[in-house]
Amino acid sequence: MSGKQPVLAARGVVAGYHRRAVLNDVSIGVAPGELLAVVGPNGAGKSTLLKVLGGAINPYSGVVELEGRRLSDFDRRTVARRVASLGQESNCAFAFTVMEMVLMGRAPYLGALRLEGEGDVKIAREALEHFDLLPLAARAINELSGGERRRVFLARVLAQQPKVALLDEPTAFLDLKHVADIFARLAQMRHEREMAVIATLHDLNAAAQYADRIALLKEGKVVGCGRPEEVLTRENLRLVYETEIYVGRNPASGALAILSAAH
Amino acid sequence: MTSQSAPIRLPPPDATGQRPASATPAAQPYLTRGRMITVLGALTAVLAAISVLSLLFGSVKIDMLRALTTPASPDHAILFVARMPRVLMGAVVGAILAAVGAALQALVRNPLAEGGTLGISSGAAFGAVVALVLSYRLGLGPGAVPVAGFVAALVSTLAVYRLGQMHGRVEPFSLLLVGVIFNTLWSALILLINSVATLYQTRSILFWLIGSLEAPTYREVIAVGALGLAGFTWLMWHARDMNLLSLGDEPAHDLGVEVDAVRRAIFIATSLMIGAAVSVSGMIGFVGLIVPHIVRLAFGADHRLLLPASFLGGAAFLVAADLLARIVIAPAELPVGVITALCGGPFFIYLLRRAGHQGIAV
Repeated sequence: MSGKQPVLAARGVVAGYHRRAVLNDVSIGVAPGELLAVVGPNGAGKSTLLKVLGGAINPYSGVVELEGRRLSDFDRRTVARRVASLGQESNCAFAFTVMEMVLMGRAPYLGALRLEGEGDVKIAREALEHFDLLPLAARAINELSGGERRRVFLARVLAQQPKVALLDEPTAFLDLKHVADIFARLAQMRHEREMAVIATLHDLNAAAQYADRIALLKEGKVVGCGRPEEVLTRENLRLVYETEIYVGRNPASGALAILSAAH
Repeated sequence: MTSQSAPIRLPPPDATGQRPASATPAAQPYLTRGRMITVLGALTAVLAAISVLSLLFGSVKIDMLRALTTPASPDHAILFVARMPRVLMGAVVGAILAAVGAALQALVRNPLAEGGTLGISSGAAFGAVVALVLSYRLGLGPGAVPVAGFVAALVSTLAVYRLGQMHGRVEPFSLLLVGVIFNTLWSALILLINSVATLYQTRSILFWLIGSLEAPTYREVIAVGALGLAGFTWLMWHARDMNLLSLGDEPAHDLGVEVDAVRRAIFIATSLMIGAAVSVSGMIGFVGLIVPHIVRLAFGADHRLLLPASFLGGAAFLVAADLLARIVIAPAELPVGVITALCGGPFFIYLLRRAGHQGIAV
């Protein structure tokens, strides 16, 4: 954890749905400015872990700590000013404009009857600009493509100005250019504002390329957690994904390159 | 970034990230104070104009000068005893139904929801009919009818909401189906009670099933108006929460909304409002469907404007519909519910098909 105190951490968390544990004794933490990727096969508990960290579901045992205090001791709005989540949502029942969607990220900062002020609009505009969305600001959210919508939701997370962003598959629906762009924007936020990011990623190569650390999950347990080259080893991946995997180096970037080696 | 090639919807100063000095408030793609003031001001003017028209015209012709200057004249009686309370009640009931429709739509994330389609109005009507029969038999006070309407509306809302869920998630389609079934069940129960208990001194069965604004008293107007305003204020307090709720329970929670508390507030406030409205006017359908939809198309989806604009627009809509009901077959009158159902039925089908095209899960 690069020596710094974690801003958000799970300690010994057991959690799940309908009394059935999906996560078993999970402990991870993220330091300010760090990008932690959570990887693992389908059903490993990646999304559940993000929901526990965001307070959407309470653990059966263990604790989640935000800035060293129990998450459950904070009220919702205080948490929302520190932790922003991007879930699997993909649409909205009503035709809000893109700008309105992003301004919703300012809600935790506003009293019940207040409209967004100039400062909020400026923050939302910057977030839109970050994701090349300014030309779409006046469009209705449900007219956009899946990838455009994904970027709108990411812009909302930025507008929320959190200390930690919890991103569930942030690059789903996106092409390679936008994936690279999004990680570049996130890196900028991490450096400028010390924002920590925990992202679940299906794409192991993206995880290897962009993450500071990687947590590898299997069946609700952390199999490995550390720098990409420590965690994404051929042995670990074969154990977790139950298939042959080739681990090499990308000749262009020098990052790990992970390919299926199954016949 | 640049935006030369992309379709530009914003004035150029926006694209550079600077505050646009020249852009008018109406051009902004988000809710501004200016837009709120303009829209609510205009709707107030429309409501006032329609109300005046409704006082001037009706199933019989009256001499306005005599009505205003000669207290003993029949014209005076028609204006102040018949028309005025009816126009006021139309405004109050229409405002309630439309605002409740907008709130319920946010709650279940479905533009087809309203008191009528979710079976809440008919629940309230059943409660009111039971209370009427009992108050006739047992001598309960006049307050029993709206109270029973409120309780039955709340029970109906909770039941429909619970039964419309599958695996802990609100399924918009099953929710609507359950609502439609409840509507039928409650209506059957109303008919049943009507058959076993002859409703002397009470309003006709048609009154409850179709909905009408005939012969309200000022007392009723004040009581229902006060309840409606209280419920509306409560809903307004949660207007922004409704924006966030329409993203889904989880995103709303992540953005700081106490989802259960807001949902409870919407349940209780809307039941209170529907109970009050139905106890004086029966089940007037589709106002809560038509008005919020038009308001949303015209002024945007933000509930901080949608709720008050629906409140005013609903008032204007029902007063206008009632004016039509009074003059279309003059000197006879239609129940206003006939007019709203005739407009609302086709509108509902249009919305259903449109939602299907847009891929919204209905």
